[in-house]
Amino acid sequence: MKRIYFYIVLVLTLLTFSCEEERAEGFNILTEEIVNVSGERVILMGRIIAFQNIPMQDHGFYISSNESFNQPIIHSMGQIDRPGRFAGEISGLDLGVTYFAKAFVVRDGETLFGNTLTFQTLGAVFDDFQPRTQFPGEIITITGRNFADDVEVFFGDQKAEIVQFEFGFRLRVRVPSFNNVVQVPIRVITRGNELSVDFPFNYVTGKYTLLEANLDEFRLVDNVFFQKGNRFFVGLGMNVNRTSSNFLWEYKPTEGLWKKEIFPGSTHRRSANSGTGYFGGGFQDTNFPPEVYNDSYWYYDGDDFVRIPNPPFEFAESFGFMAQGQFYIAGGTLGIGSNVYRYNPETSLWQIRPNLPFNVDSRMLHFVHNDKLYWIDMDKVLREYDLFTAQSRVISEYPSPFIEDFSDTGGTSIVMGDKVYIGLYNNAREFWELDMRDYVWTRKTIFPGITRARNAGIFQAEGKIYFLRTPDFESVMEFWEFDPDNL
Amino acid sequence: MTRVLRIFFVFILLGFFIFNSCIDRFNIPLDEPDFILNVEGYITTQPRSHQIRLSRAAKYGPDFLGPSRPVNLATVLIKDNEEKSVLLPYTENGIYITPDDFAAKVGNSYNLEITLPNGDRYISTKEYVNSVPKMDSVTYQAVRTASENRLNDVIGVQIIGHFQDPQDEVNYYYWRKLDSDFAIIAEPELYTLPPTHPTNPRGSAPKDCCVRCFYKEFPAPPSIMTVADEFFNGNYQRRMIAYILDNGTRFKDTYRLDMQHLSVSAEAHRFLTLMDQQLRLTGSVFDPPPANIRGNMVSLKNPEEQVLGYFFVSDEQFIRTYIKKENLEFFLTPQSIIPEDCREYLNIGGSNSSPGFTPPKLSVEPPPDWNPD
Repeated sequence: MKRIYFYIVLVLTLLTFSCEEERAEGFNILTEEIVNVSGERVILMGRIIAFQNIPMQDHGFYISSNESFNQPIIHSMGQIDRPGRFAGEISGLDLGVTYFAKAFVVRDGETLFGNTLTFQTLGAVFDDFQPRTQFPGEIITITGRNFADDVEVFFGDQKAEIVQFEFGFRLRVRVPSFNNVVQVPIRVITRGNELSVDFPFNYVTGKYTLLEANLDEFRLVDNVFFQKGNRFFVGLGMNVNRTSSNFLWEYKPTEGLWKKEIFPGSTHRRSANSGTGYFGGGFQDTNFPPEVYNDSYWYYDGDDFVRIPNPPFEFAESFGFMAQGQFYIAGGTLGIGSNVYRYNPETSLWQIRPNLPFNVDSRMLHFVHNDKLYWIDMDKVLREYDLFTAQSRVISEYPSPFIEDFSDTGGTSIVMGDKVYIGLYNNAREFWELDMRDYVWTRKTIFPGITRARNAGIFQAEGKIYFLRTPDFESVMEFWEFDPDNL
Repeated sequence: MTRVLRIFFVFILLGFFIFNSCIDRFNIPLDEPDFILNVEGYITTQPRSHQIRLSRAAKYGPDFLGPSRPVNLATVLIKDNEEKSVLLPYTENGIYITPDDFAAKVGNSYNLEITLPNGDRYISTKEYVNSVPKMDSVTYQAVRTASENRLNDVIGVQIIGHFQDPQDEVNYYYWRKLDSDFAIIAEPELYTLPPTHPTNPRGSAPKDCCVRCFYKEFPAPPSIMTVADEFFNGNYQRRMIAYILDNGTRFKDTYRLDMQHLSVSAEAHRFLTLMDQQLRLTGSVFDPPPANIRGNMVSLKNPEEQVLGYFFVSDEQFIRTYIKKENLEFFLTPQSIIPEDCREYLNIGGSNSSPGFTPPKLSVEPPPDWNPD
C-alpha cells in the first residue's frame, strides 16, 4: 500500500515538474525586396521570421557601394518586438551607382544580417518643359525623372527660382528676367549632373506700334480687306453708325497714308472675302434683318475692280479663301452652312464642291496653308480640311480660353510662310504664333491696345503684320504694326 | 501510521489540485486598428483613364460605426521601373484617375505611391506586367445548376474562353466582368392601372410603347475568376471565364457582356484567390475563417500598420460578347413579365420614386456601338 502511495506521489510530481522547458527564441532575418529605386532614393523591405515576439534593440538596413560593406550607410529604424516585414526609405544616394543592401537586427548586442540584394540607382533625365515660350517672371513646368533635392535650373547663365519641387519629377520654375537674348537653353543640374533638352526656351516676343495713319471719318465694320503686294486695301461694309461705305482705302507702308478710293458697286457687308482681292455676296444695305442680299462678286486685279459671275447660291458671313489659284466660298448663315463653291478664274465658272463636315461661318477664324483650309470653331478646336479629298481632322486646340458669346468670335489670322499668327478675338488680348510644321503654339506679347474693338483688316509686309481695329467706344480706328520677332 | 500516511496523501492530493488546477488568465493582444486604409485599383495595358480608389475600411460588428469613408486629397503617384511618374488627380469619392491615354507596358514594373494629407506615405511592392496569351474566341452556353429548391434549378450562362496557354512560362489569369448592356423586353400591353386608381383600380390599360429598351448593369453574380496554369501549363484551354445568372430579364433578347482578359502576378493571383474564398463564405463549418487579407501596400512611416487592398498591373485584352436568346439551349422559364413601358423599368408604378428623386428612364436607343450582328 505504501508503494502505491509512493508511486502516485511520484507520478503527480512528474506531472507537475516534467513540463517542457521554454525553447530558446529562434528567428531569421531576411532582406526581402527592393521595393522602389529612384535616382537618389531606395525603398527596401526586410522581414523578421519568428514564431513569437522577440525584442530587438535595433533593426534596419545597411547599404554600401561595395559588397564588403565598408563604410556603409546605416538606416536604423529602432527597436522592434514583433516579427514581420518592415520597410525603410533611404535617400541621399548617388545617381547611377550600384549598391548592395542587407537588412539587420541587433539582438543582445549582437548584429545579425540578412541576405544581400543589389540595386542600381537611376540616372536623372530632363524630358520636357511647358510652355516653351513664356514671359519673364511667369512659371514654366519642367518634367523629368530622378531630380534630387539639390536640383538647380539655369536659363542660359541665369539661375532660376524653383517655386515648387514635386515628387522628384516635376519642377515649377519662375522664368528669370529677359537678358536681351530671345532663345536660351535650359539646363538642370542635379547631383553634379548637367541635363538639357534639344529645344531652347523662348522669351515671349512681339512689338506693337500704334501707327498714326487713320481712316478719316470712318469706323469700319463688316467690311472687306485684301492685299496686293505691299498695297493694303480696306473698305465697303459700313460705318459703325450704320451708314453705308461705298469706299475702299489703300495703304502703302512706304507712304504711311490711307487713300480713299471709289468702289464701282454697292457695298458688301459681311461678304465672303478671300483677302486676296476676290470678294462678293453679303448684304448691300445697312438695315437690321431682313437684309438685302448683294449678289455681285468682284475681283481687284491691282488696277480695277472686275465683276465676276455670281455663284448659284447665296452666301453671307461665309468663309472666303484662295486655294490653288481658285476662289472658294464656304458655309455662312444663309441656307446650308456647309456648302462649298469654287470659282475658277480661267474658265470663269463656279463649281459645287463636297460639303464641309461641319457648318461654318465668319464668326470662326479661318486660314489656308498649303492649299488646305483650317478653321477654329467655337469650341477652340483647330480643324484641317483637305479641299481635294474632302477629309478633315482635328489637329490642335487654340490655347487661350474662350468665353461664350464674349471672346469666342471675331479673331483674326494671317499666314506668313509656315507660321500663322492667330488671336485678337473680341475682348481678348492674346496673340499666338502657330508653327504649321509641328503645330506648336508660341505665345506672343499681349496686345496693349483697346480690347473692346473689332478687327477690320490684317496684312503683312517685310516680316511685319499690320492690322486695323475699330474700337467700340473711340472715335477713330486704330492701325497697328506688329513685329513678331522683336521686343 | 497507515492512517497518518493516508491523511498525508489526501493533503498532498488536495494540494496538487489546488495548485495545479487553476486557469491562468491569458491576455490575447487583439488587433483593433482604427479605420484601416483600403486601396483598390489596377492599371492595364489598354490606354484609358484608370482608377485608384482610397477609402477607410469601417469596422464590422454589432455596432454601426459609419460607412466606409473615402480618402480625399491624397497625392497618388504611379511609378514605373524607369521612375517615370504619373500623378493621378483627385476626382471625387476617394477616386484618383490617370490621364486618358495612360497605359502600362508589358515588361515594366510599377509601384503605387500614396501620400495622405497628414503626411503618411504608403507604397506598393513592385508589380510586373506579364503579357496575357491572346484569347482566340469566346463562346457561351446555358447551364442548369441544382439548387436548394428541388423544384427550381438555377439557370445561367457560362462564358467560355478559348486560348492557348504558353508552355514556357507561368501564367496567372484573371477575368473581370465590366458593366454590360442588355436589351430589356417589356410587355406594356399588359399594363394595369394602380390599385389606388379612383374609378378602375387594377383595370387593364394597355400602353402602346415601349417594348424594347437598353439597360446597363454589373453582371450578377459578382465573383472573382482567377486561375494559375499549374495544372494545364502549355495546353489549349476551353475554360469558363464568367458566369451570368439568368434572372428572367437578362436573356429575353440580347445581352452584351463586356469583360477583361487579364494577366496578373503570382502575388495578385494569391490575393484574388483569397478574396474569392472570403466572398464565397456561406457560414458552414467548412468555410475558412473570415480574415483581413494582406495586400501589397506598405506604410513607410509605420511598417506595422495594416493596409487593405492590392494594387496590381495587368496586360489586358478587352472581350465583348453578344449573348442572344435564340442561341441559348434553354433559359429561365417563365421569364419575367414587365407589364409597363420598358422606359419605366427602374421605377415601375413609381415604386422607386422619392421626394426630390425620380429614377431615370431607360433609353429605347441602343448604345452607339451596339452591333450584335
